[in-house]
Amino acid sequence: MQEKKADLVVLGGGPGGYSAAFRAADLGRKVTLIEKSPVLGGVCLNVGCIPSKTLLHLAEVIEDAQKLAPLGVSFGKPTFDLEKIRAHRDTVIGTLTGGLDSLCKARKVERIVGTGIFLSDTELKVVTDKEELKLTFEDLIIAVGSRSVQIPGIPYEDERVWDSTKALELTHIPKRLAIIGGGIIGLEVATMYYALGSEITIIEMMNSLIPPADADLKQPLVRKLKKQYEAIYTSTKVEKVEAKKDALVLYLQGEKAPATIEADAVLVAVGRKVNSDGIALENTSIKTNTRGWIEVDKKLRTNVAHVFAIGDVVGDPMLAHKSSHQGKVAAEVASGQASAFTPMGIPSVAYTSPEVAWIGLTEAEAKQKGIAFKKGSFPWMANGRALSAVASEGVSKALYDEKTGRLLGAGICGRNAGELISEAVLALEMGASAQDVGLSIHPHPTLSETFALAAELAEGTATDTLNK
Amino acid sequence: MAIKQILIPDIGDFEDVPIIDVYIKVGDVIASEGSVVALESEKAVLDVPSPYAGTITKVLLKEGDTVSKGSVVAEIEVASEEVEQSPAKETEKEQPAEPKEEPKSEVAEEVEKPIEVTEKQERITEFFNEQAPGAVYHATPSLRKYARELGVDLAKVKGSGPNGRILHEDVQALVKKALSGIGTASASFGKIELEDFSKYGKTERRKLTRIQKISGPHLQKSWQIIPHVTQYDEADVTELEALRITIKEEMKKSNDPVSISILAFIVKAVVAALKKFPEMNASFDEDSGELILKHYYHIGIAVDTPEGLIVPVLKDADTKSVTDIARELASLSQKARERKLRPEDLLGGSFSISSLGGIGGTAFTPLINPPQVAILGVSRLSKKPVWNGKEFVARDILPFSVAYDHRVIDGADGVRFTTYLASLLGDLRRVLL
Repeated sequence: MQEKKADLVVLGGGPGGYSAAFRAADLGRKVTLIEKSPVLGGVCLNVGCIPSKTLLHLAEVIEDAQKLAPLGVSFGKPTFDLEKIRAHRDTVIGTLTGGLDSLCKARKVERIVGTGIFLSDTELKVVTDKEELKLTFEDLIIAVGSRSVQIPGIPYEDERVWDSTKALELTHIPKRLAIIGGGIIGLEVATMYYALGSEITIIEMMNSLIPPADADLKQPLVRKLKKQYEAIYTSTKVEKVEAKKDALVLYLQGEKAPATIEADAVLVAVGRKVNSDGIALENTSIKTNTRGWIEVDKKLRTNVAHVFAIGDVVGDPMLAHKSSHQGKVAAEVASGQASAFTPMGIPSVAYTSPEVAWIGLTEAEAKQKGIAFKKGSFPWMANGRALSAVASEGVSKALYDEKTGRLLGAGICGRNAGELISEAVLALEMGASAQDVGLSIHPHPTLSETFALAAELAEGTATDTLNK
Repeated sequence: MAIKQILIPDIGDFEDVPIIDVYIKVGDVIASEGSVVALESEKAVLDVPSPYAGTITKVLLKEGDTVSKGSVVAEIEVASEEVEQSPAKETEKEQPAEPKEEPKSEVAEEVEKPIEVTEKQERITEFFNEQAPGAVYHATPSLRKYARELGVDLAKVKGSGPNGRILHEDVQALVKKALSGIGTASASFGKIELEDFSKYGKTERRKLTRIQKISGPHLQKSWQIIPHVTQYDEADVTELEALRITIKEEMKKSNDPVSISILAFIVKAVVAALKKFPEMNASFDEDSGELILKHYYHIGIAVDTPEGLIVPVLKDADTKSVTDIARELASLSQKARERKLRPEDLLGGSFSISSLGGIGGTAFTPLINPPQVAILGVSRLSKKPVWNGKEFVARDILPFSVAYDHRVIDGADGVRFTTYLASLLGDLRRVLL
C-alpha cells in the first residue's frame, strides 16, 4: 500500500465537507478532499435539496396556474414531459456541481474519488478504483453524512418501494403514492407528486405531521393537505408492506386507519441514519453515542483533538445549512482561529405548499422551558399581498421574551416562508426586540410585512388588525 | 408526591372541540404552564396548559378526540419545586447527543487519555460565548467571535447598547481596563502554554512553597497593574560605614549588645526621605483618583526564609532610634525564619525595603508591594575608586534602586527622591535637618 502524508483531510464532499475544505484552503491549509462520488455536493446537491426544489418549483407553478382558473385566467390541463423535467433537474445539478469542481481546482484542493476508513487516530486507508493508499494526516474533518433509515417488513428490493433518492428520479407518476413518514421529506415528495397528479396517502407514527413545529403554525398546511390528499393517518404504524403484482399492500395499525391500503408506489421517509458505521471508527478512540452520532464539543472537535466531525454525522438537525456552517467552523478551529459553533437557532423549512419555516424556540419549547414570552401571531388572511396572490393560507408568528423584549423564536407558514424566515434568523442573532422589528419599516404590500405585524401585535401597536 | 388530574379549562362557549395535537406522553416531565394538548376552535389553535409541574403518569385523550370544559386530559404526579424549576435538565434530555455545555477540561482529558496532543491544543480557559435564548445579555455573532478571540467571557461584560446589548466597544473597554489594571479578574488572559518537555530531556515536578503560592498572585498583580519605573543610584557611605563600625565596637562593651547593620541606618534615612517626599509614602485610590498620604512610617522589610520571601513590617520607624531599629530588625527576621510572625507583624506597611546586598548584586528592579507606591532595593556595598578632584580614593559605595508607581510619581520626583536619599546616606547628619 502506498503511503502519503497529508495536512488536512476532509472525509466526505457534501455541503459540510466541501465548505470545510474550501475554508481550510483559504486559510492556508493543504487540503485533501475524499469523496466516493466523482461529483461533489453530496445528498443535498445530487439527490436531495436541489433536485427536490427543481420539482417543487414545477408543483408551485402548476398549483398557481390552477388557482387562476376561477379568477378568469385558464391555461388548460397541464401535460408532463418527464424526460424534459428530468433534463431540467439534471442541468441545475450539473451547473452547481460543475461550479464546485472549478472552485475546488482554483483553491488547489486535492481531490480523491474513493472511500476512506480509519486505521488509527492519525491514519486513513483510502480506496479508489485504481489503488489503495495509506494517508497520515495532521488534522481530519469527518463529514460523511447520513442515509435513509430502513424499517423492517418492507420489500426494499421491489422497485415500487422508494427512498427519497428514488422519488426524485421521477421515473413515472404513480397513480396512488403512499408515503410512510409525515416529516419534511415525506411531505415535500407528497407536494411534488400531488401536483403531478398522484393520489397521496400519508402514514405518520407520531400524532401530527412535521412533529417539531407548533400546531398553530402548521395548521394552514395541515388543513389544506387534509382536503387535498386521499388520507392522512397519524399515530399509525406500518406493520408490513406486501408486494402484489398489481399493487403494494400496506398493513396499518392505528385507531383511525384501515387495516390495509393499496398503493402503486411507497415512499419510505422515516428518518435518517448517520454514516459513522462505514469508516472503521473502531480503529480509533473517537466516541459516538448510542445512535452512532459522533460526539463533538462546541468547536466540533471529537475527543481526539485533531479530528473534527460536522454535519449529519454529529446528529440532529440534519440540514445542509447546519453542515456548511459547521464545516467552516471546524476548518477555522483546525487552522487556529477562535471559532465555535454557537448559533441561537438553525432554521428549519418544509418546502410544502404552503411552506412552513421556523427558527429558535417553538412555543411548545418555550412553555416547557418555562420562559415567559409575548406572542404575536398575524394571519395572512389580513395581508393584501397574500390575498392578491391567492395565497392567504398562512400565519406569521413570533415569540418575544417578556422581560428583555428580544426575539426568542419565530415561525412562518405560507408562500415563500422559507425565504421570509431569514429576517427572523437575523433578528434572533442580532438580538432584535419586538419594538426593533416593528419600528423597522417594511415595504408594503409584501408578505414580509406579516413578520413586522406579528411584532407589533406582540407590542400592542398594530393598526392593521385589532390588538387583543 | 400526589397524583392530580389535568382538566380542560373554560374555553368559552365551545363544546366538543377537537384535539389536534397531544404534546405529552407518559413519563414526560413538564413544567407548570407547560402545554399538554392543542385544541382547534373555529378561529384558532389553543394550547391547554398544565396547572401543575410534574411527571405525566397517564394520558387519557388522543388526537381527534373532542373535549369540553372539565374533560380529563391526563394524570400527573405532582413534583417538588425543584422539578418545576429545572427546565434546563429537560433540554439535556431532549438532545442526548448534544455535546456538553461546559467546555471540557481539556487538560484533565489529556491526562486521562494520552491521545495525540498537538501544539494546537489550547490550554487557556475558553469561553464559547453561546447566546442562550432569554439570556440577560445579548451579543451578536460577530461579537461572540471577537470575544472568543480575546478570551473574554461575555457573561461578565456589561452591555451599553440598546436593551443592554453588548457592543464591540464594551468588550474593548473591558480589555483596556483589564490591561491597565483597573479591572480585576473579570477577563481571562490565559496562562503560559506548556510543552511536552519530555521530548527534550528528563524533568521533575516540584510544588511551590506555601508562601510562594500565596505571594505569587500578589506579585503578578503588582507587575500587571502597576506601571513600574526603576531609578538606579548609588550612595557614598564611607562615613556612615566608619560610624557603623565605631558603634559596633562600642556595642560589644554594652550590657545590651546589638549587631548594627547598615540596613538600620538605611531605614532611618528612608524615613527622612519619605518625610520630604510624602507621595512615596502613600497609596493610590483609583476610584477617586486621589493619593492617600500616610502620616505614619511603617517600613516593610523583605526577609529571605527557607519557605520563601516574606515582608514583616517595622512599625513607627520615625519614632525609633537606630539601635532600636537594629534590634527590631533582628527580631523580625528571626521570627520570620522560625515562622513565628503574627498576622499583625505583616500588616500596615507604607513603604518597603528589599535588601539583597548581603548576598550580592550590583542593581535590580524590586517589585512594588501594593497598595504601596514605591520600594527601595539595596545591592552590595563595595569599595570603588572615586575621583576627589585630585586623585582616586577608595570609597564605600552602596548601589540602590527605587521602583515607583509611575501613575502617581513622575520621573523627576523619582530621581529627586533617590538623589536626596543618596545625600542622606552620604551624610546622616542631614537627617537632623
